Amino acid sequence: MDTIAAISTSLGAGAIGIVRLSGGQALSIALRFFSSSRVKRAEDVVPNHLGLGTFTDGDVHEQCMMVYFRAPRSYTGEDMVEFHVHGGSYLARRVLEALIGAGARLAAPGEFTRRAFLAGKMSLDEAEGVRAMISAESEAELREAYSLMSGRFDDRIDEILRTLTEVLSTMEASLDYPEEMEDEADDSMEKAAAVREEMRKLLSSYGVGKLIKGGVTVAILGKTNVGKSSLLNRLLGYPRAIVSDVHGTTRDVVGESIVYKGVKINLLDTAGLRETTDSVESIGIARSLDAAHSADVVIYVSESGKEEDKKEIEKVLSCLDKVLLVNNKIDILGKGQGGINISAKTGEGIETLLDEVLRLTVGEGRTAETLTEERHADCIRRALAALERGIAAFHKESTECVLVDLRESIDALSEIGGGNATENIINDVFRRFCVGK
Amino acid sequence: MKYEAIVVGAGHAGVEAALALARLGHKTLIVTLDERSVSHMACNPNIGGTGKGHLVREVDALGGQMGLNADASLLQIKMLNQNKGAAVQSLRGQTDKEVYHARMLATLRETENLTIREGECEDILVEKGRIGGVVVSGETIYADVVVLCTGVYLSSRTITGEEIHDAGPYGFENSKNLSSALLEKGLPLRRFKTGTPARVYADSIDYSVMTREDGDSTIGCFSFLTEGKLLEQTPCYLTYTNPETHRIIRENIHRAPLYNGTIHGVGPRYCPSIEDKIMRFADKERHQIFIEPEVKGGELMYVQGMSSSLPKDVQEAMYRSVKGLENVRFARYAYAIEYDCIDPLALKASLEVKSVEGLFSAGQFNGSSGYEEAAAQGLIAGINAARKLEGKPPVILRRDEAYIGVLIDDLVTKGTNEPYRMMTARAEYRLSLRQDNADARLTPLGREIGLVSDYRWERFLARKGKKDAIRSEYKRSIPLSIVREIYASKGETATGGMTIEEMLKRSFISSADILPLLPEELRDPDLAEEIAVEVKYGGYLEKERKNAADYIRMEERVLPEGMDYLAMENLRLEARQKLDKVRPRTLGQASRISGVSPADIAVLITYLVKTQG
Repeated sequence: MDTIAAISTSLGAGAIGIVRLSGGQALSIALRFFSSSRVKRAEDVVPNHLGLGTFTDGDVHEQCMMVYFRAPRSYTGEDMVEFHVHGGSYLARRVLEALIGAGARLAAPGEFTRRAFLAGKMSLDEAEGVRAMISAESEAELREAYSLMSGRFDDRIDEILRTLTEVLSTMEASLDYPEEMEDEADDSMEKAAAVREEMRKLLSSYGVGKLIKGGVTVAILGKTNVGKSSLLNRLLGYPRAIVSDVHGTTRDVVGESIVYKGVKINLLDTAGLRETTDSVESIGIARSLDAAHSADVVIYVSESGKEEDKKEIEKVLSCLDKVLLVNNKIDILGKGQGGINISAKTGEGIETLLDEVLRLTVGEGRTAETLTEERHADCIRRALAALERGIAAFHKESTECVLVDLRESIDALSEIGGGNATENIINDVFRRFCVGK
Repeated sequence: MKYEAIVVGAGHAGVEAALALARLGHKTLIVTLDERSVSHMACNPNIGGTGKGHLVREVDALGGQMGLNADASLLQIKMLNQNKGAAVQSLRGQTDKEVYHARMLATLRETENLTIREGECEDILVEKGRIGGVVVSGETIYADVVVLCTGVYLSSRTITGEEIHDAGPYGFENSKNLSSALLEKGLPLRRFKTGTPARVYADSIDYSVMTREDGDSTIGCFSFLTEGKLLEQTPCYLTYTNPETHRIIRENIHRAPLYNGTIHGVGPRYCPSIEDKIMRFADKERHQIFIEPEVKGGELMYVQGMSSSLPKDVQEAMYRSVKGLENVRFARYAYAIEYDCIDPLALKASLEVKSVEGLFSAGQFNGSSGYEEAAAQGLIAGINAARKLEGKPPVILRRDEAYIGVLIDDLVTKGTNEPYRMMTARAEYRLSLRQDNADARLTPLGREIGLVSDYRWERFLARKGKKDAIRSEYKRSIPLSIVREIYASKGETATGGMTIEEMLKRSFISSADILPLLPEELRDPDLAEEIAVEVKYGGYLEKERKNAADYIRMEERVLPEGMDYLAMENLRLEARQKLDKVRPRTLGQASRISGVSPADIAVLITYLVKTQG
């Protein structure tokens, strides 16, 4: 059995997110990312023992707990690993993506349950719990199906599926109707290559797609009393944050979301940056900097005419790549030099600012056909890998062997929209070719 | 009268069912409307073809009769897809249909425990959901199991243009009363359609302008028991339709029953009539027509590719527009035939009717098309009817074990909206389900069932022993000097010694090349090739086996028979209804029902846990 992975806690709220792995490779995949003072190699891992360590993958460097259950003494009866990470969906998703990148497959709905059952490992209590969870999952899926984005994405998948079906039906017809298919032209490989390109494009839109679905996180930073909270309120369209002339009014990070041009933007208003002796305020300032680091974009607000030195800002934020410099209060102070001129009070320049946020994040790739779901990405990744194998084998192996890979490809792709690949292929044979006696 | 078993119908399904029952020691009656229609080839005079050839081999490996009977009546044999891999190669044989019929009738007559009776089965006896027997031409005959193999005879009518006959195929009588009796007993019947081309006089054809199509005298036959090759082969001939043929058909299309509403039955896309081909593929300039002998040296030829239900005068005009058929004379005109059959979703995987215990069915009655599909089901229905009598569990072949498993699983899980034809494209474990290894896959099972004779079993063991020996020979290292020699003959250079297996992995090395390396007694080209195929498919076969392992785990979870799917509230409504209709035997079968999602399966599992404790 291959090794599967999934987030097993509900996405969104919750103090802890659990990501599960099940299958023969579970531990070896897990240990590519997890280490602790005690655990360096597989032999160090004590089964059923929850251990603290670090999950490292690219820029993710996160403290978390890991527990290993050795087959057959686990929920599924297979080797299993669980990661318990800090709450919120973001980290759990990152961990899941890392595991999938390392060779795990995203579990199909109910697949852990199915494996547990087949291994004879499921108790009645567990079954009841699982049933509730699956109905909830399906509801969430149903909602997604109705989301604005899905329509055109589905069209694009359908188109790829249709072309791939034609590739397969031509090849299958040549096997099942060798005499009748002799004079049919075969452009299967050109079509397969075109499908491969389409799949690659879709996958490359996935990074952007994730931003669209999860939302773009924007931190509003700047010194005290430059109008950060006013900007937040303007962006939200209602007075969410307390605004006053008193320096240091905002003491903690305030988070709210808006949707702009179809993209969710998560706004974080932060405590103003200044030297302070107030211990609560210093904690707030430290949090402001954390928020800036985790954000996709930082809006750095200054008062118009009092633009701060870029080098100084760079010192504070360590890098200016994702920073938008904003000059506020142009309604009283007039336009400033460099940066985007806005007035949080009158709303002038706000749209320009938001457009810049989108340009910096989702950029030109922001189309409705963008891939947003990890499940879909996983299907397309598998479909692409199998298709590439098939294309490589095309001139070396006989048709029925090439078809083993192409079948795997179309089956993976069919998981997205459902539907029976074999029936579609056979229907296509008789739709397109005059075969049969 | 009382028998243990009654088989209704003596076509390709019925004879296999009856022979299986009788050979397993059960006193069996086979009922036919007309003895002359026993194993009658009502359409094309050939056996096998892609996918179908595999079925014949499997029927043979299990101890069925079709392969032996075809071999005894062969006029020509060919291996299709010889330029492709072994898994998609299929035998197709032209047969003498009179010999085919006569040999099978003789086999029925000489089989112990088997009685043939002419007459019309008019009704079945059902009491408390259990079969009790049948009524044949007014006489009640009792039996504990009944197998329905009514083919295309149920309330059938043949259609040639405006001419409609209340008749079976080829002018035989049809079954007039059984349909309504079955409907009355609650069996879900529907109407399918198929057709056949004209039979024309052999001496009215100009073969000199056609392409001669010969068989292959170097290949073996269908049955694992048949020795030797067919040395004397009768040719077929190839010609084509042309724009004139197409014009005639288009101009008369309003007289085609398929197009003017006379025919309501659902026809198979697998055997389109010529008018269908012309109308649906208007761009195609010509269509192939094969002229095939009906009997050896006989007076009639079969015109494959020209199936039609157009009126006789149109048929004459369009046939005569074809090169070589200008002066053709008709012995029998082409016709379409409509008939009643059952919705196979009403069947269990054992081919027992869900609502009537002890009633089995097979062949075209189950919604399939083709002699081979019929024989395969007939054999399984016969075996399972016998096992019912013996109180044994049914034999159900899995999709990774046999094309027969694919065929029956497709029918009873997905149903079909048109006569179902076997295709290799339907078999997901195609590389494993080869015709060359049908015996290895199924003969041990056939032995266990009791249909494999001592003679067949000895032959099987000998063949298996040889194969095992060759397999271990393939692991033997060959010194560099010899490898170099073989490579050189292919224009390749070898750099080191290697095993035969490693050599065979190269695409330029075939089993023939390494044959001289085997000890004399193992130099069997067919067996050497069979093992070479396993080597060459290597990683692909491995992948299939891995996929099959997942599939088998799901198949091994048998679902309780009385599950109340409609009451499972957490299942989506569509899934509840589909599961209730199909009533799958295993969790695997449930997962293949269209409209049942992986999430539904997980929910189903939670109910299973609950009911099983």
